[in-house]
Amino acid sequence: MARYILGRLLGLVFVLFAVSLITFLLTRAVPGDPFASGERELPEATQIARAEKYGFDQPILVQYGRYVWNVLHGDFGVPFQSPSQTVVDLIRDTWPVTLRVGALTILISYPLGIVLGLLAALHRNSWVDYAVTFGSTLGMVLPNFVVAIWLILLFSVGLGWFPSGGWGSPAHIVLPVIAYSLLPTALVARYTRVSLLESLGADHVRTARAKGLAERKVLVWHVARNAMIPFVTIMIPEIPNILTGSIFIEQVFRLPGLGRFFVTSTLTRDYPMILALVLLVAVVWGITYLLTDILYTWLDPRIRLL
Amino acid sequence: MTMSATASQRVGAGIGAVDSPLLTLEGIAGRPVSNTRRALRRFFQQRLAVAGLLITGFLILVAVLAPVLAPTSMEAADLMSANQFPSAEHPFGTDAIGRDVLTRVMFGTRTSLIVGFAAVGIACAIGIPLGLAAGLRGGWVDFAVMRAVEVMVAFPGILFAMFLVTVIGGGVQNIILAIGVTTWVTLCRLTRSQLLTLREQEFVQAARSLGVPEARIAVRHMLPNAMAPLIVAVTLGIPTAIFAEAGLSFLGIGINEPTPSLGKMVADSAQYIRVYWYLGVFPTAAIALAMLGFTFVGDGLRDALDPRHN
Amino acid sequence: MIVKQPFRPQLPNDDPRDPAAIARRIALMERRMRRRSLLGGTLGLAGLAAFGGGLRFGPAAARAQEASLPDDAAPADQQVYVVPSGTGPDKTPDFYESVYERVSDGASDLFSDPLVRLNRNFEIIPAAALDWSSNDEGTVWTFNLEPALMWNDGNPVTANDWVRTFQYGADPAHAWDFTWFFQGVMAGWDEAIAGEIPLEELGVREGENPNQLIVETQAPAPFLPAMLLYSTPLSAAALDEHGPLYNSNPETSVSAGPFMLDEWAVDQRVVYVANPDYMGSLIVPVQRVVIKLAEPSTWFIMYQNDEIDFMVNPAPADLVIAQAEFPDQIYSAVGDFRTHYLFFDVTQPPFDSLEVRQAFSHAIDRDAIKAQILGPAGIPAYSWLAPGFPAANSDGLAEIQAFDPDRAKELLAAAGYDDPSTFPAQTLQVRNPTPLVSAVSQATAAMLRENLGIQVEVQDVDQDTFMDALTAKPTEILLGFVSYGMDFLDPYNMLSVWLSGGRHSWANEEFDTLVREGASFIGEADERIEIFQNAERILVEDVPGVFIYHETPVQLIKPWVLGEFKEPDANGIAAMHWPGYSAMSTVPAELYIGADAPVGRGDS
Repeated sequence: MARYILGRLLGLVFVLFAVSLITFLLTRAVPGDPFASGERELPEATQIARAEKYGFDQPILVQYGRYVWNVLHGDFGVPFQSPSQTVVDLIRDTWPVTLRVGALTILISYPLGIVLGLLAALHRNSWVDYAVTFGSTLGMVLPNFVVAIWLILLFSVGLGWFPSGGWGSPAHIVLPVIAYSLLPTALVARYTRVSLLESLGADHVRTARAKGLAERKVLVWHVARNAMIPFVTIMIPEIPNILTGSIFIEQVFRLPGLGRFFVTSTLTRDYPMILALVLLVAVVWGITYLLTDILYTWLDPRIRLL
Repeated sequence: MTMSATASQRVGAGIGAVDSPLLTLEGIAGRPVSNTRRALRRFFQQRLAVAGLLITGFLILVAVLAPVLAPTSMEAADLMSANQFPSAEHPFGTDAIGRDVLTRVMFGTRTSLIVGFAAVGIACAIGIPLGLAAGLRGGWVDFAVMRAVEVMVAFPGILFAMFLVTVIGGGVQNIILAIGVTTWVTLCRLTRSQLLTLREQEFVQAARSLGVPEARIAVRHMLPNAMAPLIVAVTLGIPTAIFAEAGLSFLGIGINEPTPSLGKMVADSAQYIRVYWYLGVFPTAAIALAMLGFTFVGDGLRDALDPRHN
Repeated sequence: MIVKQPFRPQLPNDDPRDPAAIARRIALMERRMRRRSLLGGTLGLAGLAAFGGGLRFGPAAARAQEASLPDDAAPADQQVYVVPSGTGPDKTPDFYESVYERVSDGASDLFSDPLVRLNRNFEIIPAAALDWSSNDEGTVWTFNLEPALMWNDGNPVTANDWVRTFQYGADPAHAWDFTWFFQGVMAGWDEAIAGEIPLEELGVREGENPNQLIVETQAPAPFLPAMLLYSTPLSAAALDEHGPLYNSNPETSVSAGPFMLDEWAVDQRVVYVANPDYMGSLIVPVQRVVIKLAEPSTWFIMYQNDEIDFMVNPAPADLVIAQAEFPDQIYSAVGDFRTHYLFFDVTQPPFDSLEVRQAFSHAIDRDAIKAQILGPAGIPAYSWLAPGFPAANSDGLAEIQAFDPDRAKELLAAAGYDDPSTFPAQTLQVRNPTPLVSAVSQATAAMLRENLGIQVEVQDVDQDTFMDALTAKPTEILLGFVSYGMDFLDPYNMLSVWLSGGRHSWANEEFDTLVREGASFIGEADERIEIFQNAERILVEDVPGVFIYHETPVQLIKPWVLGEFKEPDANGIAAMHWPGYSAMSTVPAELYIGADAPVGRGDS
């Protein structure tokens, strides 16, 4: 197992190189100057001076090599969009906001979704089941930026219970968490229901029942454990998604989080920030996949890691 | 973060949705696939599945016949009748420059379905062969494919979409390419995990011990059994792609006007819905309908194809 | 026209050599010393002087005492003005660090006084420069500076601060995003930005004393004072000590302006508080400015929720709500005389044909766009210079590009497209549109399709890509939709956009000659205007662009924001004047917060 994990981590290093190189080349291939060209054409002298200032006049592989060298020395550069900070500063300042909202979202939506899914599965084809199915479909269909706007109109403009956006007090976190939670709750409820039903009907559960195990024991052990596998497959990868935020929610609620940088960095051609985020996502997902695979072997010993 | 992950939570959702429960590493034990007719019969025995088929069929019909059914042509804009609420003349109202919203929903359905089917097609074309190779060959092939998956997950999809759109243009085909190329990961992982499980199943082991060639085992025994979750994933990947297009539209990386798409209509309506609610409601409803239709069909197919029901 | 006499419509007796002025200044310094000795240091002595139009300018240091506030004003500690500003690259609050990546377009450049200001009647008035004059050729300009100005680190504001600021702007190592501004104007600028001469040789220097600044120009530049609206200096001492981003951090920030930096939370908010050491001429009642950084699409809800006091350009649907619920809070402003227009690459077919361009210009019904989309946010445009802008000739040029679909079709046929379906399909590229611009550009394309029978798609393009493609040589945009607003109040500024080799591929020698002649024309003002009007006629007749609308920005202002800005100005406009709440304009002196303002608006 240790050897396997080591191999995966080495693989991750390769992934980081590959994805950073691809991204690096892509940033240079996309047209558009990383610095506002403003309304008028800049004098050629200034364009040249600017290229020199940021090293864009160098051959692209030299630029990449320099970047890798700096990163290996812990220097991820200075974000073009906020030059009084470093990229590391900017991520350190903004990610905790996203993490806090994301963690709360997971803490609320996953248990809620599991309970709803459980209720639906145990009362199959009852009104509870239909309500949960309908609700979860709705949760998956409504675009979250639309939901966010309606939440603000209702609870902020209409009722005045919460501020329309911003960050700083517990009141600011309520509406974003609701907006974020809708989708994972719906997904968790849906998959909990489906995998429980699958699992309840599975051969070995029927066998266990036939062998006369007490119903509760059947449920708790066999059913839950089997139901866990699809759950792990589907819902664990949602976690990095939630923890890296969404531009839609962050913009609408004016959260100073990390999520929108995935988009704004691209739109403003903030090369150092784009690259840092790509590396960050690669690491987060690499670790998530690794953990998921390890969890599989624990849940189903028949699965072998290669 | 993939485009799917970043472009919207929604898209992330789709990814989850595609990893349907049947992937379940567990479950698809059993014999080679049952015969088609029996599967079809089982499919049509499910009310929701039939409803899903009807919904999907209806949407496809609308999409195909949009030029005939729509009240106006796709380009028609009568500025003097802009911002009209739903009426007998314009059942879904008109938008800010006087286009008939019903017309746009119809043509938007057409665009969105094309985007959905084509993007999923690309994702299949890349993801399934890679997943097959990884699952069948294992070893370093598997390792390499899985690392490629990790690269793709971190791949900046928005940047790639922007590259395509700015360098080549904001045509439907570039949006399809951008979405397809960044969403094959799910199908690849799904195919691979199916094969990994199947490899250890009794009937495959049995075939192997009987000396059946490995390639034949793969094609005759394993692929058919892996089909069910893949079909589900594909049906669910379509609404996912529709949402991905909506996400890109929201970011201003979308299909050129005047070609409408449901995603773009919903995204554009965000600034208008407080007054002109109908601009958002009808395209959202159309997306919801598509989502429901494909989900029901997917669920029905899963149940119908599940060999354990034999 | 050369301003040989000091031009100071607002502040009499300000000649530094005038004994009375010297006495006043000495008194001022004494007051300053006394005030500094007071604990807390925020209370000064009343020294109000009221000048034209009720605008309150003071010698200095007389801002915002409770005693001086009107009866209906909130107490000084609640003089909080809250404005939104877009997120995005926010590098600095300083113009000379970055123009397009400055934080807060809502309230900016408040950390020093520029040489001149633009008042609400669009007059250039003295600010840090008490007066100015030029030599007979109009090439050497002398600005006499207000000697009382101080940085709040204790250093006096001197000519050297401007010298260093202009040198920094020209420094190739800085590669400023506005270097085009002084190109062809300031002596040595073009060579300095190319690194061909040392910065010390730039044509800007200290005069006879530290309070005299001399600027040399390459050619006669009667518009130089107007340009120097953009001259909020950086502190030479702070530049040396902390580098050019010193104003990004409250700890290193230095101000000689009406406000100083109190807090800067990246992408959340920026807070300015009144600078107790401010010695400039604006009397500013507001004690605290809170800038909330947020996507423009979220501003309207913040406004409705009383979380901000002011916003500009609500989306069309939001304006409908505003008109229904609080019509008295809607103000229509002049803004920066911005014109939105369609343009062609005239070097490429099919737009190398004048007839094709004319056909396009007659195919767009601006009145319908005004009636159905713009509302108060704009007026139809048939020419380049917006009404009210110097040399504007809107009525005289209105017929040239008038809406006439029949003529449009004839012209297209005359250009060889009898059958419009043979006209190559076009993609109209639109620069990063707001919902309003998006609607206008799509309506424009729909009219081209409808009235000419040709194929036109619309593609939204982000700012960076668009500007790169537009200014590429040769340009990469065949048909585009974009806007331009003035930088300074002179016809030369707006018309120079169309000079050969500039923003667009259109090149017209006659136009170039006229614009250049007008720019450096020394003589009767009327003659100069006429030269520019002749140039604009060429521009409109040759149709390198089809002018669609002049923007008249819609401002929403809460009823508790009171003051001079609500009274109609000389042009009959009651709104906040461009460039807004900035030391470059008189707006900061024109408003105060009323007693009925909700408390706590600036808190989060």
